[in-house]
Amino acid sequence: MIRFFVLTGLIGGLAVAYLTTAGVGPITQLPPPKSLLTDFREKGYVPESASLEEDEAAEELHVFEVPDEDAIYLAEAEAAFEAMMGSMDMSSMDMGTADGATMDMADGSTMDMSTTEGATMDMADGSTMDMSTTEGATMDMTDGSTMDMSTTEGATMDMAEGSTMDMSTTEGATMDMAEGSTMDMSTTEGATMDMAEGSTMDMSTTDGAAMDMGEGSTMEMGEGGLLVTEDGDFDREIVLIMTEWEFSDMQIDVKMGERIKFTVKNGGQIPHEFMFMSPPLMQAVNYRTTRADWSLFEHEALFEKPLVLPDGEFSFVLQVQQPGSWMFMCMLPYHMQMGMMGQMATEGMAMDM
Amino acid sequence: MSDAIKNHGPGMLAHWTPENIVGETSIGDILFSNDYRKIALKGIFTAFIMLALGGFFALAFRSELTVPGVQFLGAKVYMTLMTLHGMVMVFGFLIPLVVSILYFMLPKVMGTEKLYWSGLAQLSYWTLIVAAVLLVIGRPDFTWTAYAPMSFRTGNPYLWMGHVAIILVAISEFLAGAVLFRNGISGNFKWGELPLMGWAATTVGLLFMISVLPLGFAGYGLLSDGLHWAQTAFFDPSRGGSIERFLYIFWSYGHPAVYLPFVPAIAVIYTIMPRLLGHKMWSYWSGVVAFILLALGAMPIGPHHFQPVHTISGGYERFVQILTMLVFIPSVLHVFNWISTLFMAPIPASARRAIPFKFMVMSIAFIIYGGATAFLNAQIAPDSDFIHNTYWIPAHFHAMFVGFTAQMAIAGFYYLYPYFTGRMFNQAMGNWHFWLWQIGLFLKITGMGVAGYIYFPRWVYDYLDMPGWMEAQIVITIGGYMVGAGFLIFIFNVAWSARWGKTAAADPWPLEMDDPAAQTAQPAE
Repeated sequence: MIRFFVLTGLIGGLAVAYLTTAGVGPITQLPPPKSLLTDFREKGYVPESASLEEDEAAEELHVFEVPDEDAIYLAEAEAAFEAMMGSMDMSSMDMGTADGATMDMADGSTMDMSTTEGATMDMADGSTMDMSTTEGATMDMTDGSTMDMSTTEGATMDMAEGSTMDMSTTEGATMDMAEGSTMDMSTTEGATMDMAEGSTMDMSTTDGAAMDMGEGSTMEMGEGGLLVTEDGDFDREIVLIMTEWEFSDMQIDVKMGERIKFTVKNGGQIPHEFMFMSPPLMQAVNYRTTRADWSLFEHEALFEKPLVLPDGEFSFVLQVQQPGSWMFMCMLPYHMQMGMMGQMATEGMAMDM
Repeated sequence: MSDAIKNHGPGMLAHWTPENIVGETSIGDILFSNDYRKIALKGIFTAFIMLALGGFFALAFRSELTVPGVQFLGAKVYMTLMTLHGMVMVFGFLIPLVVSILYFMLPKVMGTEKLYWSGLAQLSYWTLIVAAVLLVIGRPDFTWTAYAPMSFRTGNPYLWMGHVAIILVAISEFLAGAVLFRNGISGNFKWGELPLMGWAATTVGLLFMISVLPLGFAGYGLLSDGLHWAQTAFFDPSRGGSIERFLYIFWSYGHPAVYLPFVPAIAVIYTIMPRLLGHKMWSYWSGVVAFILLALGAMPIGPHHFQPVHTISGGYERFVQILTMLVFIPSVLHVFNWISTLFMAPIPASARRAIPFKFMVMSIAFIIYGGATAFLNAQIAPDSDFIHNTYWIPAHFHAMFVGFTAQMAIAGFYYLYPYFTGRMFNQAMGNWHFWLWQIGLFLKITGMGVAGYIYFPRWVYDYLDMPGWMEAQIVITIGGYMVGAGFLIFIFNVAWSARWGKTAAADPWPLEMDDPAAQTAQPAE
């Protein structure tokens, strides 16, 4: 009897061992079944006018809401993010130190740099530039702000016809156009600086530094220092392949102001998604993952592409507007833990991972 | 039969005349005899084949997981092996093994000398064999919990075989439950004198018959949804089904599924512990009450297996948590009863030597280990931190399933061995098996617990090189290989001793005290 069972076990075991290892077929995913609604429509039960598109309102359901106990943590993470951004030394947005650095502002864009008093933008060593928020390519300099464009020669700031530079609101705003010099437009309300076509404004930082603003143009700042558009001009192109469980490029070095066209392909076997996140938000994400909570703030991401099926591909153009680092990842459960997380950073800002 | 055995109550009755059943049974008898001991032995040895298969699956993916980076198993093979490991170990090894041991012991313990409804037991066995064959051919990769809709979207064209296998398992377990219940209530006992194994068979038989109904329905729903038998679906959300419906239905069986092997294993303790110690259990009624409470508590607490689902929240979540905590009471009643029994009188030298006694004591140690982690699992706060979906849960259920249930079943098997072979197993090999298993299981379970505590996720075939993760996996793998080595020694011992072992005495488990004067002394009660 024991011999019978040992023999049966050995033979059966070999068969099972083959079937469950070498005999296992390729990874497959059956096609999703036809939904009941689609089926009803084909049978004429559903009026043509009824939409079968994904219901955006579903996103508003409470399941996507931040639970009360997490709202506190999220608020802290966001406050930390604000604090970090507020205190960020803008001098690293230095348009003065490198030869030929340009900041090109396309039509219709806005440059919104600050909503608080005293925020500064260093154009060169020791200089500050404060540009508060207004539409129509205006530049308001708030109380006590200074714009010092003084240290080197040859930088130009072209303001096209119709643009205004309003430095008018309060006393004390200064604009140094050259070493030691001051351009004070503050004494009268509504004073504007109208620079006609072809005129140059010497920002005196470095040879060839220029700030061109097209007619009526503004500069748009994206969330978290990244401006993402569907397409447009770009300086270089990066092709990212997603596979299980990595990106073809896990560490992307970028330069301030660079415009990059990303083409992201899913070269893997299963669906993935793609998003960019700021480091502070990643702390909140990390907190959630440790609780095995899969609502990972993906809708708060700086960029989000929810579902990329195998062989799927999409592209976008991204402009780096601030120095910093950003994480990109697939947020499907455990994909990050399995390795699908990379970093994009400006020089010196990369974090150890 | 010595007087000590006869005179100490119903628990002492598990004594047969040693005879060589395994050596004198023809293949036709093995396959189709309705003799209770042959049905039981067939079930036991088939369960060991299942253990070998499940162990092979485990060691294969254990080797893959030892260090991060994909070595030789891809995702598909890994998930297939892990699914089959779970299904084969629970449905093929644990439940059939303990049920078969009960088939063997019940007729003697109940004094009926025959297994009522043995035809149903035969049918139950063959139904399970068909289910196992279907599982191996169908090769499902949706984990043993078969969560919808994954369980009908991935896999291969034979996926329906997995769903049919689930239905067949339900049928097989229903029949086994009916047999246990029928034999549990038979015999010439008043309820107050029914042996504790009888109480166990009665309560768990009922639990079997009730709890497999949702399992059968879950299997039918998956089959129907997967093959599009109906316009609407039970579980497929794209066709009007509900995933949460699946969760509630499946775990109505899924939690009792833990008790189905668990309660018979407890019954085996209540039977061989007094036999080997030579005196009664510390308390009869505490055991009875605990059996009834376990059976009552099993089904309603299923939802604690999927607490993060949003319908398990608020008052209902607390309700399930409190019910879960209440199940501690019967479990602890059992454990205290055993510990108290061990301390009632000096443990005989014969018991300390006996391999089944050693396995029994260590299985009690592992149920305490698993029970301590269970206390944490029942808490909702850590549940959503390091418990749910991490290796913590495998640590808990391996302590309960392997550390307690499987080891107790092995103890029962060692106890019965001389009765069906007529020979004693080799003591040295038995000791090797014992120590390899204790150390191996402890390493494995503790490694899993540590891995879970540092958030190692379940159901991954590869992982990042995070601090501590690889170390934990190495410990688990070493433990797994030790258990595998112990199993090989065990099987060799079983096969070798059946032919060349020492001939068993008329009473293979005679009482022998350190102090001969105490031999006849009655323990304090």
